[in-house]
Amino acid sequence: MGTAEPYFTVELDRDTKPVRVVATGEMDAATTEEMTRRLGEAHEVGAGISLDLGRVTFIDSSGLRVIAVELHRSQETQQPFVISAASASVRRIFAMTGLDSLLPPSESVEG
Amino acid sequence: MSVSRSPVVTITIPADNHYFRSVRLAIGGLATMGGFDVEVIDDLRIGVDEICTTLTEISNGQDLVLEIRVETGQGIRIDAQVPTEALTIDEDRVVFSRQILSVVSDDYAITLEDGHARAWLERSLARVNGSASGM
Repeated sequence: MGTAEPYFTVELDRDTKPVRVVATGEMDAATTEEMTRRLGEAHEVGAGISLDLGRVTFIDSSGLRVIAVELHRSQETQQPFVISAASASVRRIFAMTGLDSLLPPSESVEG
Repeated sequence: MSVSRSPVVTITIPADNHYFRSVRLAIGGLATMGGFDVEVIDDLRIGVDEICTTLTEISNGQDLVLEIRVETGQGIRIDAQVPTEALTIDEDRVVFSRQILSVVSDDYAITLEDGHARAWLERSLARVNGSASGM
């Protein structure tokens, strides 16, 4: 019997400025630890973060809190933080919570 | 909406967030039986996830029990409870959950009483055919 694929992954590209962070799959309470850790790694580079949520198929308040915390930390340390892409699921939950108003406008948001 | 006489599907999970995905999958299937469209099914998956997240965070570690009633052509009601030693709900922790639940449901509640944290939500099919998503 094969190993099941993880339902959430995060990839970092430290060579880009800002650091590109790509999340794929379902962001829920079980995956916040991984997301927090990876955003922390990206933050330590000090070049800002470009967060790609275009492949996120599910997100809940736990995932939102992780993003909100990183947004706050980036603002405090004056590092750029942008969401470069957002799936329909992400856009919908951002709209529900008003968090979209905290994010810089991005023409590259996609669904 | 009347689902009080509907068959009850009971799901019991450990108070562990790794089981939430299974609950979301189950709700998706049950909501499909109820005649909801894809967008509302996504809403219900978010809603039940928020209930699981909220209750698990204040549980005392015992199992979370969910009861789902689906009445085809009527709607769905989800009740959940977990034992807790908490005396109050940390509103700062649940602000996003409350915002989300208010959009994805017709009505909902989160309460603490008699050593149990309880939450429920209702969503009628009529809303789907009417003003839809509430956003």
